[in-house]
Amino acid sequence: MEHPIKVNRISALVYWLFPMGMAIAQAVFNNYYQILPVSVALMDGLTFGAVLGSLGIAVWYVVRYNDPEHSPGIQIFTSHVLAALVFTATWILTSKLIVKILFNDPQYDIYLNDQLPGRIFAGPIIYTLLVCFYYIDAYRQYNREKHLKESQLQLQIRKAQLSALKSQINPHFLFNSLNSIASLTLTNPDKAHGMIIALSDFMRYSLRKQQDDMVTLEVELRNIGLYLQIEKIRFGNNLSYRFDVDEACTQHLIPNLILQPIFENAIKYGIYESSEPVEIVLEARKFPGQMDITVINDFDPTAGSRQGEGVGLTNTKDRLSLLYGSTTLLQTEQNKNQFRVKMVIPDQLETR
Amino acid sequence: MDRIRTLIIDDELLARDLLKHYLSKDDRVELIGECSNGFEGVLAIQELNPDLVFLDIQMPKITGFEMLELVQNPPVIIFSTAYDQYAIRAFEANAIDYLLKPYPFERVVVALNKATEKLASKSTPLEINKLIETHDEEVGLLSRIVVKSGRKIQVIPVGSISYIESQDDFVMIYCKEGHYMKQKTMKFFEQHLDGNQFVRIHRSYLLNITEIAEIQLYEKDSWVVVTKQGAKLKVSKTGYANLKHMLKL
Repeated sequence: MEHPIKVNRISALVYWLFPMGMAIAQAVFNNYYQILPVSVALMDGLTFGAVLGSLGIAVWYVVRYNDPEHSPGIQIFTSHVLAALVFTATWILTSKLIVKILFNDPQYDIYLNDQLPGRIFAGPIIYTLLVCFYYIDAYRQYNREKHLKESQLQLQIRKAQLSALKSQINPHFLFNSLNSIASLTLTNPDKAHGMIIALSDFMRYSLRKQQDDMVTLEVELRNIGLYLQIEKIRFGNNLSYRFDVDEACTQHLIPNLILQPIFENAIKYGIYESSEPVEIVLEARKFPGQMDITVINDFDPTAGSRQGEGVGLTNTKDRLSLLYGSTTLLQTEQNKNQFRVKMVIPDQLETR
Repeated sequence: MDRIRTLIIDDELLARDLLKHYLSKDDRVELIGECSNGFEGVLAIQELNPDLVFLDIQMPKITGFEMLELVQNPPVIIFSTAYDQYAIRAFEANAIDYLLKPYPFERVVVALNKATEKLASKSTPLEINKLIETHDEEVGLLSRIVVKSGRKIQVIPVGSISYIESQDDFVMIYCKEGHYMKQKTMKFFEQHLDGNQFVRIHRSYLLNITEIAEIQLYEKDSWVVVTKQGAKLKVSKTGYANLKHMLKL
């Protein structure tokens, strides 16, 4: 929350206009009725005005720390009554002292004693007005921030949904597969038939699943199998794959589609970039408290395009760390012509 | 009129099959060959000298764009790809055509009409160069450079470049394995190589800082960099300032 008077010069100017204007008005009034000489009247008005203005700025802190949303009503009320008394007392005593030091005039003393009850009465009223002003401003600021936060949140949600969708189906894969089907309908309708069914099953799985659903490794691998089957129709004998899964792993739960980016990556760097046959191997091993999944693919080291882990693997890493609360669950390793991704799936999700 | 001597370059057998099927239905076309990657493609274009090439972009070893960089006097090109991000926006004006997979026979006929027109007008291959240049602006940082020496095509990962020397209107790329000519400007490499790794030390040299063995004072206000392979490169005054800044001397 920001102090409304400190926000900019104009609001400060408008704020100071009130006490200073009042001081000048009072001086003119006093002079007109010949109560006081103009210099004394002006000094009185300006001093009381300046002290009042300064104290008024401080009142904001009382409002700031008495937020009606978090503090009980009785506490707010007591703080303001106390603050009003302190405000009035400080205002009058400080101002009086200053005028006395600067301008020791017995005539003024008499005048001020006359004025004192009125000023003591004015103190709490001015205090109340200031508090009202600050609360209104705080309310407006609060609303504005709420609005801003809400629209930012909306934007974030939309982005998250979008990237979730994006990670599910790679458009290049889709259009290239459709092109292969178009080709097969002419040359090999049976194969085209099989590919349409595999593609439909794969897409249904990818579109239906929510990002935070858990599935068994068996189910996830069936889907990866569909994906690889489609790529195998496209790339023929260049692609082979093997799943080596411990019996104990098949029913282990994993986040759905978590393997998809890893296989897409393996295909991208293994198959798309190579004209040699490539094998992709998945191994799943059960250990106490966790399951280790390793995906190994050959790649052509002369293709020279492998740099870093790529967006797909970074997203997978982020997702794992969100779900399990650890950032070290995905590790990659690269030697001469093999790329290896090792993923650890703990038995338990992070308890929140 | 002679038939259009046509070459297909695509890494997917099924994609080639479909295109061959389409082309067989149009009398204007004579299919003279097909290639499944960019290496074969470059050689086939040189040996067969086709009038027209249907070219995929994403292929093993080198992309369709990288392939075009290696071909002198390229033929008329029709891109055939599932990738629309390279596309249309900047390119369609320059490309003879850009077919998005999967496309129907009628679309191929339209592309062939354009190609026939182009071939009849015998225009220069200027458009292709323009196309490559537009592509240059779109590429981010390079991770590799494709060069040709004789009949051999070489893919150089940028990390293994020692330095680049500018010649008249081309550059010479020096690596451990040798040096290669490339028809590109120094400015291009300065813009598309990682600025944290490559520094312009002289009007003629762009240097990989991990290749520095030694920096020697040559004479007053003049320095020489010795690379790990022993090459000595002059450093200009501004070049020295760049170098100092990068190495935080």
